[in-house]
Parts: sequence; C-alpha cells; structure tokens
Amino acid sequence: MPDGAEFQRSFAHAVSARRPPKGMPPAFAVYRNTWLKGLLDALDASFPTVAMILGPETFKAVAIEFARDHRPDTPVLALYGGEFPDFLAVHRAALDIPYLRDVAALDRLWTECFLAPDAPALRPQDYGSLRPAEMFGLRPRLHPAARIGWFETPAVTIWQAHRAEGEFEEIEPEWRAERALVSRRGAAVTVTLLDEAAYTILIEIRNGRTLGSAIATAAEAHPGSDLAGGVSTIIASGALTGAGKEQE
Amino acid sequence: MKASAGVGFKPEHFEEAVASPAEGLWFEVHAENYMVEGGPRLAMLEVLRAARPLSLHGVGLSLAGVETPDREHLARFRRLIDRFEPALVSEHLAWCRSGAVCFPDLLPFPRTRQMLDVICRNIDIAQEALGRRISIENPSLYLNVGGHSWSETDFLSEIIRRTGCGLLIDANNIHVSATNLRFDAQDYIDSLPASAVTEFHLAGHSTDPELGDTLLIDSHDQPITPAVWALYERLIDRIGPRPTLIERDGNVPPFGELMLEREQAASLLAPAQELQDA
Repeated sequence: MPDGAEFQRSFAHAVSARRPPKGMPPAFAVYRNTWLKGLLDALDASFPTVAMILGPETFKAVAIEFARDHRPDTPVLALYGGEFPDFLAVHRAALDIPYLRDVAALDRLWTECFLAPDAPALRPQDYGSLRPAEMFGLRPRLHPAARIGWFETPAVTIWQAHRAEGEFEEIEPEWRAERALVSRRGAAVTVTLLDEAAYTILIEIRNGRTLGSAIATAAEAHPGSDLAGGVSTIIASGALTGAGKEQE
Repeated sequence: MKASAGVGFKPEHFEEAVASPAEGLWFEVHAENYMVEGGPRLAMLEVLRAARPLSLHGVGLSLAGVETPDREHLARFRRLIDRFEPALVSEHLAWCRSGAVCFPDLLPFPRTRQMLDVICRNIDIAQEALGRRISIENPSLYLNVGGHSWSETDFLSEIIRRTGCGLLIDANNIHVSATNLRFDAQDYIDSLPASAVTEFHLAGHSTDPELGDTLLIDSHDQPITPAVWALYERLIDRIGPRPTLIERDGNVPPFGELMLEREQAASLLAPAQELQDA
C-alpha cells in the first residue's frame, strides 16, 4: 500500500519538474499542463500591459520560465507574481525594451491598488470650508490603496498609451524619469502621471508630515511648480485618507 | 436552499447578473478569488449577495493533502463565510499543497486506509474552523494512480459517515473520470450515498489534443455535452432535485448563453421538485 506522504511528494515533483519523468502515462501531461496553465493565467491577468508589449507567444514563454522558478506558497493567486518585474529586468526578452521592468512594476501597483483595503478617501469638500492655516495643519495619510512609483524610464506614459481606450497610437515619449500615482476611486483604478512637486508632496505625506509642511518642502525643492494643481490632483485621485489636524 | 439552478458568477456579467429576473437564480464563486483585503471585487460580491443566494466553492484547502489544512487559509475562508453568509460551502476531494508549495490544480491520491483517516481528519478540522458543514466534490481523474482499497463511491460514503459532511456531485466529473478510467458512469451514480448530496455541478469538457476523445479534460470552457445532460437526468432520478450550478471558467460566453443552459437545468429540476412537493 503506497504511503500518502511519499506518493504526494513524488507526484508533486513529477507535476512541476522541468521535464516529465520517464515512464509516465500520456494522461499525466494533463496534470502538468493544468498546473502551468493556472500560473500562466494568473500572470496574464496581473501583467496585461507586459503581455501587450511582448505579444502572446513571447509573454507565454517568459511566464513559463518565471513560473518554473517561482512556485506560489498560497492558493490565493491574485497577488502571484510579485517578483515578475525584477525577473523581467534581467531577462533577455527585455534587452531591447528598457522600460519593460517599469511597465511590469506599474501593472503590479495596479493589482495591489485594486485588491487593497477600503477606507474613506479625503474629498475636496472635507477641506473646502477650512481657512488656509487649518488646511495646512491637516495631517492626511496615504489611502491604503494608493501606490506611488518612480521610474527611470517614461514607463507611465508608455503604460497609459497601451491601456487607453480605442486604437493604440504610436508614441514617442520624451526619454526621462517619470513618477506615478496609482489610486482607486470607487471601482476604478487610475494611473496618474505626477510632476516632481506632486510626487514630493506625496512622499512627505507618506512620511507623516502635515499638508503645509509637505507643500513647503515641495515648493523649496521645485520652485515654480503648480503646487495648488498638484494638491488638487492628489485629492481628486482619492489618494489621501484620515486627515487629522496638526493640533490633535 | 431550494433546489433551483444557479450559474458561476463572472465579474464581466455583473450588471446582467444583478438585474436578472430569473426565478430561483443563485450564484457560486471560487472562494479564493475573494480572499482579498478590499476593493471593487468584494464590493461587487456584496451587491450580488444582497440580490441572490450565494455559494462559496473552495479550490485551495487541499483536503486530501497529507498535511493538515492551512490555518491561515481556513481563517480567510471563515471571514468570507461570516461576511457573505453563503447558502452552500464546498471544496474538492483533492490535494493542492506539498510542503510550502501550492499547485493551482486538483491532484489525485490512492484511496487507502491512511488517506481515509487523513481526509476525515482534515474535513473535521475544516468544518470546525469554518463553523459549518461543508460538501466535498467528486474529482475529475485522468489516470488510475493505483493502490486503491475502496471504490470512489464507497470511499465517499465512508467519509460522509465519519465526518457528517455533504456531497457535491459534478456530473461532468463523473463523465470525464468514467471515460478516462473506463468505468460505468451509471453504476457510479447508482452507488452514490444519495441522502448526503447537497448540490450538483454541470460543466463542459474538452478532448486531449493528442489522444482525442479517449482522454477528456475537465476544462470548464465548453458548453455542457448531451452525455453530461443525460447523466444529470439520471442523477435527479436517483437522488432527487438539488441546487444545480452551471460552471464555466474559460471561453466565457455572454451571460444570456449561460442562462440558456441554466434554463435547461431548471426545466429538468422542476418536474422532480413537483413530484417531491406533491
């Protein structure tokens, strides 16, 4: 009578081994295919922009390589593939696509944002009646679904072009670093291109500073920036929550 | 829950699913897809649950694994049950975890005395942690792993006797296993422990690209075949009407197309329900 533990160890190995073990009946391939397909489907769902850029054949080949070396440790596959962007960074498929890792990282931030906890977002009417001194004293926090990203490449513009509604239009983005805010409003996840000042404000808020202090730091570092526009973009994106006042 | 017909919920069908006037309609989801912290996915399920009865179908508890079920996973499952108060909760008679590695698949095992003890222990742990009776689903098999001391139906009966769990019978899984392992599907149905059955599943399958129709794959990506409908009628005759799910996971058609299959199931359930009510 076969021992259950020994049976499962060797079956698990045979399912996920790089090559099928010798002497297995042809039907055994169904288990190997199903296992791999589950992981590929999860990567395909989480990295749709990477799949668009690479095309289905190349994406599948790269995803298979990744899946063989990154086996999930949970049956909840919604967050599978956290290491995929860094895997792509050094993959030969990315040799001619220097922005591929950054686009993958944005896809990942989108998924994290989509699945993150709920919290009431700070709305313009929450501070609209405040005097400036009161408003600058607010100490909002980043909404639990908000993510901030800084990229060496114009990945945000490239990501947005691929994900826009309608026909894909060829773009020639200016080759420079970009910053993104990924946030959730209602059921929709949005990716917003940030200027340096708005990015600085968000970093300062994440570090626990008041709105006034965050704006002052951004003004000093990036003189001439549209700070009011940056703040209203941040708030309209639903990126902030829980504005405690400075004195509280 | 009344023995009516439901469909597997797909987010792309959300608006039509909530608006559907179909009498007795209910929905089933894979529990693991909703084990997330927040966001639109859970919000959608809240709306769906407010409109219709819900069934949570787990794919990750690894009840036929030699290790005990993962406590963290059970806790996540329990939170979903407490929040959504499903009418039905089910899992598979299969394993999908080996050590720290999870397999997005439903893997087979030899039906031995040792595995019977292990599975009953795991179901006891799961029912205790989830605070309710669960039903286990008969597996789709692709090959005979050998070493069996029980037939599958006798093994299921013994599990039910020892744990008090229910049984989810998937007509497509019977057809797929019977074809692949060359046993008689009618005999299988005749030897099922009828009173434990809480739910039926109906789904489509595909044929192996190399071996053709001697190897069927439980792919849930095709319409339900006439052979599976015939087994479903036989199940209703033998067991009686039970809540019945139209399962579709790949090549998902428009909502209306799934609802046509659902209507076919409902029309087979209705006379059996009338007979039972009489």
